[in-house]
Amino acid sequence: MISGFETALAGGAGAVIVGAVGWAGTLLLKSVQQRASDGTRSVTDAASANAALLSTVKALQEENARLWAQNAAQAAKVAAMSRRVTDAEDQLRTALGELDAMRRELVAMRQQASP
Amino acid sequence: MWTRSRMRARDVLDRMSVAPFQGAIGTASLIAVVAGIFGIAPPSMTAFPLPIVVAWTILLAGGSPLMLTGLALLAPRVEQAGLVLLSASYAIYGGALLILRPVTSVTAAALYLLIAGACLLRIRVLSRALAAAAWTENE
Repeated sequence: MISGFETALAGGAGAVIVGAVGWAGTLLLKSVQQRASDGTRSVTDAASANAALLSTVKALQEENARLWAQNAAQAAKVAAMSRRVTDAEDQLRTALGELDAMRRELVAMRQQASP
Repeated sequence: MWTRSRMRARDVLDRMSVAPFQGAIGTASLIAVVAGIFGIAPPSMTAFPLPIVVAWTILLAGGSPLMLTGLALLAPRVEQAGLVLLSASYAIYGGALLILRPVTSVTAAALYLLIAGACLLRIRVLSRALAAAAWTENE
């Protein structure tokens, strides 16, 4: 038969056990929550870094397209100027040819005029 | 792979070296639990009522692995949870010895009750360290 004293002892021990298990359970729960929040934070940080990288890539792509367009505009200007130079060269050649013909005509006229 | 295992073992040893007495108490408690499973209990346990013996065994079986794991893996809250259970276990054992054998077991009772107190002090130290770390993070 269990004495009253032993019952009191068992009751005290039981209370200590319940308190200790409850406290330990709370601490373990906090540990799990901390790990979960650390994991979430690292995922969020990685997502932010990824978003920043994507934004940088997009900006670089836009800059690239702008530079290509600028390059194409410069090339068009160079082509137009090249055509103008070619046209001017053709005109110059034609004028030089006409001048040469006029000089030959002048020489022939001078030869006819002299006795 | 051998190098990685050796480094991990060295890391665990380094962490245990930070609190060697705690590691010793945890290991001794684990040995006591394993011995208890095989029916080898401390002699003073024969005077205890069965509920005390069961409570002591369960708390020791839960507390010592948790405490050692928390210490080895640098998980302060897990270590604290183990210390809570160990503290309760040693408090029950020391308290029972003091009540049931106040004269013959005074030294053993004092040892176990002081171990229980040391576990509570260590819980306090870890709580303050965690609070300081949280404050630093928020800064």
